[in-house]
Amino acid sequence: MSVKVKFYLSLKEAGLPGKEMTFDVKSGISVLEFLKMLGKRYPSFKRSYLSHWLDEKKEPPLLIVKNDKPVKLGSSIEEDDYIKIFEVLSGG
Amino acid sequence: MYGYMGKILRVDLSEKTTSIESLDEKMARMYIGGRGFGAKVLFDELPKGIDPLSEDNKLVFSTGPFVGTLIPGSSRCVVMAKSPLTGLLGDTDFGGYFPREMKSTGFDVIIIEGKAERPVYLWIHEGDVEIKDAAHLWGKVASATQEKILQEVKDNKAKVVCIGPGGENLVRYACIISELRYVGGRLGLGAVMGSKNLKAVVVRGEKKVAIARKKELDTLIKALNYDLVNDGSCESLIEYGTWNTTAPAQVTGILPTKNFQRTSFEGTDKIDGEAMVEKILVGRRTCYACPIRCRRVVEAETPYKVSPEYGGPQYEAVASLGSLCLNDDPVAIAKANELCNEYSLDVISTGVCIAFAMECFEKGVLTEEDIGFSLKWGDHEAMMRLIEMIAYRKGIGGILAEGVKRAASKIQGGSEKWAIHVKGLEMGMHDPRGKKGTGLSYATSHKGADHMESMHDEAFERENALPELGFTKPLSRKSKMGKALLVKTTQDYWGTMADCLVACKLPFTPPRPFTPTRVVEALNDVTDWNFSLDEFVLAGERVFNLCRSFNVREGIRRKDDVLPERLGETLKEGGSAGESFTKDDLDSLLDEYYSLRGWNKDGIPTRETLHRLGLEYVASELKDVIS
Repeated sequence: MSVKVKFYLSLKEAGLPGKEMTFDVKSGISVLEFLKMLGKRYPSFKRSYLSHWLDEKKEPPLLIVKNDKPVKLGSSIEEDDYIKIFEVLSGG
Repeated sequence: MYGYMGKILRVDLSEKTTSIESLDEKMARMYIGGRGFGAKVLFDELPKGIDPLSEDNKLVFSTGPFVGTLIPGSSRCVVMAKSPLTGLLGDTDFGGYFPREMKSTGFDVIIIEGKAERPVYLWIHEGDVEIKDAAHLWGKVASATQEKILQEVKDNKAKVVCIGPGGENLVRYACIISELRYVGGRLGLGAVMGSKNLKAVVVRGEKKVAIARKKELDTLIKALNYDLVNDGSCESLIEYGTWNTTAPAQVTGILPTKNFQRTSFEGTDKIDGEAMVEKILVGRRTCYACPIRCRRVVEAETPYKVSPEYGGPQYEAVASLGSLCLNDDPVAIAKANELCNEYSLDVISTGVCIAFAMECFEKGVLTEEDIGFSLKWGDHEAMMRLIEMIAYRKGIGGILAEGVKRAASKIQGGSEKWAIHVKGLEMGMHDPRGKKGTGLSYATSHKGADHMESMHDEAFERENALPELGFTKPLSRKSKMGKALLVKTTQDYWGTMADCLVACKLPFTPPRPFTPTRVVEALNDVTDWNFSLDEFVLAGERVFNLCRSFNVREGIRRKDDVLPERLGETLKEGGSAGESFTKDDLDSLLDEYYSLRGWNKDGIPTRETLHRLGLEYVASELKDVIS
């Protein structure tokens, strides 16, 4: 199945080719599994946002929004879901 | 001198005189501009212990070397005076178009002294300065004031900063509002304007600032603008404005809720970025020369009519007038924000004062008889009434207009524990239990609990967040580890220097592309100086210590670098469950922080530190208290 993902983080830091991409994933994949898949495909994304936190079994500093609602890492992804991945920043 | 107009305008409202002084390059290199200039003027010219609402206070509008250029985020102005809210050094800043226009009049700095006999406004245009009668404007809200003034000066390109009834009635957290949407919110400088019978400052100019290496600067600006729009790091800011903070604050458990009793709010999905865009957003605006366009334009008809004329609420207003008061109605938040802008009230302090009053009501310390109506959590109709009562100092509004610290002292009944402030400044909308660096910054900033004085912990939860300043390893936002150095460094580099240049801090925040190297390159291109990054940060450290020294002269010591007792309570739910920020936590951080700063154990800069920073005259002034 395919899911559309929009990234709200530094493309340079994450080593991502675009702000919005479509990925083929297996049905029911969890958000965490999906992030790990992204990390495997994009090593800079893994290094910048995942490695340290997953090594320490903590949640990475990312906010995942599925169909306009924030979700936890265990949440599953289904066909036609629209995923937004935000770097957690604040101030202003 | 490149990057500056080279002139300081001084206006004495008591004597109805104006004078022009030169700005010399030595002062510019030492203090850069903005906060640096303001702090120097106020340290040098204000005697210890003056009443901030007396004619002895001085109000300083100050630009910096970035203002008037096309550097993104560079049209900002710092306003400083002794704060009527804290009794300490007060500064606030705002963006929009006024700052660029002010510099185009030919003045880098405007110092306003004394007190006018009757209400006046200043009309500064093309080197001419007029003190004009404003008796007919006194009592008017911001929109009516601006409209009338623009008619009178017959120049629709003029830019206005003004106060509404909140400033006139000396609400201690009255703000200054420019163009109805750009707000110098914190620390009550609108009340300082009111105390001087100064209704507005109006500017119009055509002068251009000289730039030393224009070609190089243009190349840098082009690259910066491209990166800001395209590299993804500002994407959420572009799409949601600062509403991009609401959902992350909820998820990470730092969203102030129910007067800081909690840090997650069940109504967040009704007021987060997605919801606000869907329900009230009708447009976006920008400050001069900024491609991000983070400013929101909002409009609504029910349950309140909200005009797009005023700026929409930013994150701080969404939290302070929303989750903090358990208000989950986006239109009510926008209306409360609009009222604060009309009356010229700081949204953060207003929200904290209302939440405090709601807690007092819940616990029976304030009654319906005291207030005049019921004040239950989430009752936004009651909030609207209270905002008006604060602005006009009616009934209980007169007590809340004093700020939460003084209000608790007056109300008593144990309410001091529910007054959430540092040094009298109501706390920003970032609960430090989930971000320890922000807590240390709240405790040590010269302003009190202001959220824009050091970079926020979340930005450092990934590798190589700010390698040029030595931050390469991830730091947990919840941990104290590494936070003393992080706060000290970014208070100097970000909190202080952005306010000296003067520039918006958002593009400076990692991983956004206005990196330290590029910031210094831009300064050197504008001025023809040759600052290194170390010299640049040192200038920030100098200004930071000058601000601290002002407060030390007023009596500030370690005993004042504290956080509200409530933060010692452990959070029971949400993304920061289990976290607290106790007195012991802060004490250990302060020991490390003071040591890094070169301050003694009582929080006073040592003679050696002041001399290292070129502040020998400050050391002389403080000779009785420094070691």
